[in-house]
This record gives sequence, C-alpha cells and structure tokens, in this order.
Amino acid sequence: MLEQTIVRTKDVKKIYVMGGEEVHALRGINLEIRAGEYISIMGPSGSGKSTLFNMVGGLDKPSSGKVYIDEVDVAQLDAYELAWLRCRKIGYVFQTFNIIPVMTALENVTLPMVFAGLTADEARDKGVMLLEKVGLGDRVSHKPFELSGGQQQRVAIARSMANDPAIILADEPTGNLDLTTGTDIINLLKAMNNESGVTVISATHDMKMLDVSDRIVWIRDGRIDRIDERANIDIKIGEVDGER
Amino acid sequence: MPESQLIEGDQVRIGKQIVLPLHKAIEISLKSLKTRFWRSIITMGGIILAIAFLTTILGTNAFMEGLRLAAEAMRESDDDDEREAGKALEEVLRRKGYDVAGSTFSEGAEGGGLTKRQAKEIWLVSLAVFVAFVGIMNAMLMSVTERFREIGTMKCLGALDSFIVKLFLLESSFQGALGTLIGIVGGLIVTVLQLSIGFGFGNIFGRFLEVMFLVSLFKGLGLAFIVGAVVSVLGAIWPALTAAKMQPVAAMRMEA
Repeated sequence: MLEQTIVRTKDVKKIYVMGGEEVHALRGINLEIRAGEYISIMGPSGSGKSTLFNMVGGLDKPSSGKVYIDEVDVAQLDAYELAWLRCRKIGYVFQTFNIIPVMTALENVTLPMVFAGLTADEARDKGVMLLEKVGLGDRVSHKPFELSGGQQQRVAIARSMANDPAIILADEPTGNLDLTTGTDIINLLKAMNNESGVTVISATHDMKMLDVSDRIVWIRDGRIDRIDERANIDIKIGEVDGER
Repeated sequence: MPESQLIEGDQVRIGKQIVLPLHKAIEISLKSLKTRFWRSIITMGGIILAIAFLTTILGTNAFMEGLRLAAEAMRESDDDDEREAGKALEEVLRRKGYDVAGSTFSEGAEGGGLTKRQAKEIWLVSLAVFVAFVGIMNAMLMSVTERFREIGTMKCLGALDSFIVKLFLLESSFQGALGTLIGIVGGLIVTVLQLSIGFGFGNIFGRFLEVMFLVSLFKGLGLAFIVGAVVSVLGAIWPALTAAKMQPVAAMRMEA
C-alpha cells in the first residue's frame, strides 16, 4: 500500500510579484507522498506551507518545476481535467469548514456526487452512509447554522469522502475548533485514513496532529527543512483542563 | 477531451463527465434566493420599480389609445348624440394633454414623429430601466464578493466555470421574472387608480373598455415582461463571469 507514489513534486518554485518585487514563496521543493500516507506539513506563517499545500492540491500552479498527482503533471491539465481531478481524486477539508450555507448537511455531502454524475438515489444513500460514518446520521437535514463547528467539520470530512478520493487535503482542519473537538476531528481523519486507505495531507499548526501522522514535513523559508518519520519522534501528549 | 488525457497506463480513467443537471441547478438557485430572501428583495426592488413605471406608462397609453379609437368611432356614427359624445370625448383627451390626431404612443411616428410627451416618457422609462440594470449588476457583484468562499468551495468540489455562470444567471432570471411580475401588477394597480381619479372608475371598466384597449394593454404588458427579463439577465452576465473566473484557492481565504 505504501509503495505507490500519489503526489510527487520536482523542484517546485513559486514566485509572487507583490508591489513590483518578487517574493519567493517556494524555492525548490522535492517531495514524494506515498499512497495511504498520513502526512502533516508544518511550518511557521510565511514559510510557504500554504503555497505548497495549494500546489499538491492542484489549486495553484508552480512558477517552475512539476507537480504530479498520480503521475499526472498537473500543469498539463486543462480546466475540465482539473475540475475532474478536484471532483474525483481529491477531497478538501477547510479550516473554515466551508459548508455551503444554503444546503443541508446531506445536500453538502451529495453535491460532489451530483457533479460526478451519480443519480439522486445513489447520492442520497451514499451521503447518508457517510454522514452516519462521521457520527451525524441524525443530522442529515440540518442546515449549517444548526450545526456546531465540530459537526460542520464532520460534514466537511464526509463531503471530502463523497467520491472515494485518493487524497484528502486538510487545511488547518482543527484551526477553528476547541481542543476536544479538534482531537475528535484528527481521530476521524485518521480513522478514514486507516479504513479506506485514503492519503491524508494536512497543513497544520496543531501538535496533536503529529501523533497520528506517518511523516511530518517541516517547511522553512520556502524549503523543506526536514522530514520526520513518526517512528523517529518522541511525542508526549498531556491533557488540558476540559479535554477528555 | 474528457476521456483521456488524464489516462496514464491504467491509473486514472475518466468514467463520467462533470455535470450539473438543470433541475439541480434550479434547485440550488431557488434555495439560494430563499436563504438570502431580503437581499433578493432589495435586488428585485430596482426591477420592480422600473417595470411598474413602464407598465403605468404603457397601460395609460393603451387606455388613451382605446379612448381615442372610441371617440373616432363615435364621431363617424349616424346618430347625432353619439357624434356629439365623440367630440366631447376628444375634447377631454385634448384637455388631458393627449394628441388625438395620431396615436398616443407606439404608433406616433405615423402622425409625424414622436410628440414631446412621448419622447419624455421614453426617456424616463429608459432611465428607469437603466437604473434597474445598474442596480441588479451592483447587487449581483456584491453577492459574488460576499460569496467568494462558497464559489471557491464549489470549484474545489469540481464545479466548472459554466456551473457557476449557470447558477448566477438562473438566480438572476428568477429574481427578474418575479420582480417583473410584481412590477406589472403594481404598475397596473397604479394605472387603474390614476385613471379612476381622472376619468371615473365606472368609465374605465364600462364605456371606454374597448377591445383595442385590451390588445394594446396586453402588448404593453408583454413588452414590460420582456424588458424585465432581458435587463435581469444582462445585469447578471458580468457578475456571473466574475464569479466563474474566481479561483478555487479563494475557498482557503481566511477573511470573511
């Protein structure tokens, strides 16, 4: 399972021009992410962590270098193929949950399935199954404003699994949650990773995420500072008041 | 193209295309309007007022056209009393400022070009419709700006640019259709009230209600509906294209 490479970057550089000046967000990133891995991208603000995350998620294109998702060069894809990639290959989880406000939990989960061409019945059945899997079987008809932050993030995780993607991209998934709920979300992502073998790539500041990660990629000044294997790092997690 | 530039060996295959069925797009658009009910009402406000104004002008002119034709028919009658009544009616029309020699509005050119009154009406109606157009465009652009996260998320979920355009144009069409209908009903009510005060309520629904009046009226209402629908869709094109061009990475933006 862990042998196949699902994401590969080759000397990826990203330069933004801001106020007439060039800002080097990424300065040559070479990274291989294996299928089924749980990987965390960590680094301080401005390190290039989000830029790298957007590159491996097919959300942005590099100024130079290559990003391969499942051995397909993302830069070569046209708009239609990119949409297909986002719909079928990648599931996104956002810090701000990004539940479509006019839709119920079930409609949010089934939307990517509608885009993928599933029938209404197929989509509903799968949507309910996914919501049950994330513990929201009794909340299928709830609108986002009727759900807590943690529940909204669960809906987002169920939605990210809608089309059985190869990769889940989670952008600071616990950033807007309290400690307990954040831990629940991390455990849920890990459970998805274990059960379905989906590759989880997460940009995070949350140290709790390190414990479930197979590898941690540390970014600094647009370069990979180091890559730690989980087995090689010693993490001691304490408990904070109020945390289970 | 769909089937295949993504294929590398047997690794990736595009089985189904990316789709957004029309019934689903309509469902999403209606839900969006329902959820943002008050904003929709404000967006519709401009079109309601413009179409109500247009309906009032067209309705009044249709009525006057009916009266003019009635007066003309009466003047050609063999009955002396009827001829006298026809002259009296023409006199009333002149006093109200209507040109009884030619048509009052749409066919005015036949009688030697538009009258001053007609030209003024066209100018005012055009202005009202233009203001409604700008109002719709402004409201829709604001809506696009506010909904950056929703649009970005949809794109992350696989929405094509054309889906976003479809959703925004549908929303605008529904707003335009409803706003136009409300405007037409409102405009008709104002027209009837205004004419009732000028000519007496009984006269409007009795003596002067000629077939020609109804034909002109329905032509006018049809025109008002077309104007409302066209303005609503045209006003939404630029905002819809702006939304469609938004990059999926917008979904990651933190600021509200």
